[in-house]
Amino acid sequence: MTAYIVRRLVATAGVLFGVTLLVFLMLHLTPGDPVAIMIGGQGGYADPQMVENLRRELGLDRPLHEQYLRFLTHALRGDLGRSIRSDAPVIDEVLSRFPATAELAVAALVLSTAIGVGAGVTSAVRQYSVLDYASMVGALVGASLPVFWLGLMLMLLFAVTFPILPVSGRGAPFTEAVAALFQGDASLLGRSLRHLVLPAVALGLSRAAVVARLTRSSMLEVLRQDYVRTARSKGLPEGAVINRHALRNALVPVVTVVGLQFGFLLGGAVIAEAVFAWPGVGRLAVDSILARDYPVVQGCVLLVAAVFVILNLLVDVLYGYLNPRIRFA
Amino acid sequence: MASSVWRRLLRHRLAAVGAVIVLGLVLVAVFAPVLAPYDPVKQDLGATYRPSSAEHWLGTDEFGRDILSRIIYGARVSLLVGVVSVGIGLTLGTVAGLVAGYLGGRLDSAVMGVMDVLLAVPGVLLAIAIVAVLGPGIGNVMVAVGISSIPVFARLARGSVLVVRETEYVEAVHALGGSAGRVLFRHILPNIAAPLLVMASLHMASAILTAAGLSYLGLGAQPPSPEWGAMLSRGREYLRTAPHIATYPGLAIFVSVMGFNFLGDGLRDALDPRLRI
Repeated sequence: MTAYIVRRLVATAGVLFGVTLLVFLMLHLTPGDPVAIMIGGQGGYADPQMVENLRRELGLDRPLHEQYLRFLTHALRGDLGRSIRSDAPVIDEVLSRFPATAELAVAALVLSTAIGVGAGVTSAVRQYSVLDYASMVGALVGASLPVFWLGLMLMLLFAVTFPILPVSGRGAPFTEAVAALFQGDASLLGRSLRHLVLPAVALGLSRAAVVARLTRSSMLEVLRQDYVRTARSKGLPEGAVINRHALRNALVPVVTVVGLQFGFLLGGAVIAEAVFAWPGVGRLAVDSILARDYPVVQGCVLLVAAVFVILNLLVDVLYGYLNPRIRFA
Repeated sequence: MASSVWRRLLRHRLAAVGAVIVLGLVLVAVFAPVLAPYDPVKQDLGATYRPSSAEHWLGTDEFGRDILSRIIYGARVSLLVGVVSVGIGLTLGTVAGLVAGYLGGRLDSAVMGVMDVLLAVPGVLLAIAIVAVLGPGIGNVMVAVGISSIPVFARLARGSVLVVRETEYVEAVHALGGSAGRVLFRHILPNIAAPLLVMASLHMASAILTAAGLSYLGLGAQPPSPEWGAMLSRGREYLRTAPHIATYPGLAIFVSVMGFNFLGDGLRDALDPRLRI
């Protein structure tokens, strides 16, 4: 197991190194002079002195390899430069937004896993029934729903037609709300959850489809195994066979996909955040692109990619632990 | 082979529904000038925010433009985005995967290393980052969505090549003196076309979805282009007073994406039942 973890760690370090290179090159691949665009916009006027100053400040007047080394060493120390718009350190801007994105992605993940595993198991247990067909067609339909449209329709229904949920924004950080609950104040948690419901449903529903399809196929495979037949022939009740023998093994590959879903949800959160004015990293990235604040865009991409890569590593290690065939392959 | 695939595809009810939707989308896109009752960009400030009526079946937007006509013309944009971006991903990804898988060694490690780095950034965010580099606009969105799908095709092609490379008929071509190019493109490519075709069909759906999402964010098609994501984005502002402005373009995206998903799913079952999940 140790050798497997070391192997995965080395591979992850390589990918992370590649991601820093990709993010670094973003600025250099911009057609035209990125500094002039940052100051004056595409095709706009930029004062040459200001351009020169900013170029020096960003270190763009040095050779490319030197620039990358500087970028990498600074990034390793947690210094991703300063925002062009606010002049605040990029790392502070991005990290202050990350809890909101993580909160939304976790809520969507819980929702998509609960719906997906539930629908997948039901489909497999009642294969070729109306319920099975309905679940699987529902999964394909769910996967086709645009997050931004579903978000708006949910908003229209639950915030405009029947005004029972807030239209947009983040009520209160979930962690603070839970802390307040322990001090006897439940109102903050209620506010936090009320704001979280619509964006989490909009984001999570499409991913539930992927989990449902995988759970179904994994469960069908396990249900055909000899040990399940043995459990049934021992006279165990069907519920025990499903829950204790089949589901546990069927969920092994699902763990991998659920782990990867989190990364996709972090990416998908960009759009959900825009729809619901959710103050997360995605919204910061889009606002920064429109304002041509490239250092912040670089920071957002780097942070989300790093989280995604590290999550992948954790999922791989967990999968190797659960399935010895993988770690010895 | 082809007839049995066709029979299996026709028997797949969802695939048939998907094929009808996709065919409908293509026809609407091709015959947009004939089908659209109004000019999609022509404003009529005396008829703004109109709900559905006999005159304007799906109502009008904030500039009095006919929503049905804009959706009909929008089919052209969505289909073009899907075809171009999948074309970029499929072509570059397949070539990269074929060459890496066939030649192996350091080239394989280098190519797949680049793919791993691209896969490390979630698809939507990667597309957004590329648009940040290239600048907003529907053309750049096509390139961005295309590039972000390269690793998926590359991995699929490479995986398939590794299997096919060891088969006897490839060995036979080698023994007869076939060049690497001939082996790759005449013998291996046709044998891995099925999974690539399935992936391309499913990617049409996600490409349309991602591109509409980027336009929704203001990074794709710019006004007054009748693009569904951009129309939806404008409609958000009038959700309370004129919800139809956002509802219908979103419905168009949903149905189109569903069509490609149904068709892709059916193709997967018909071409290679082993790929079914």
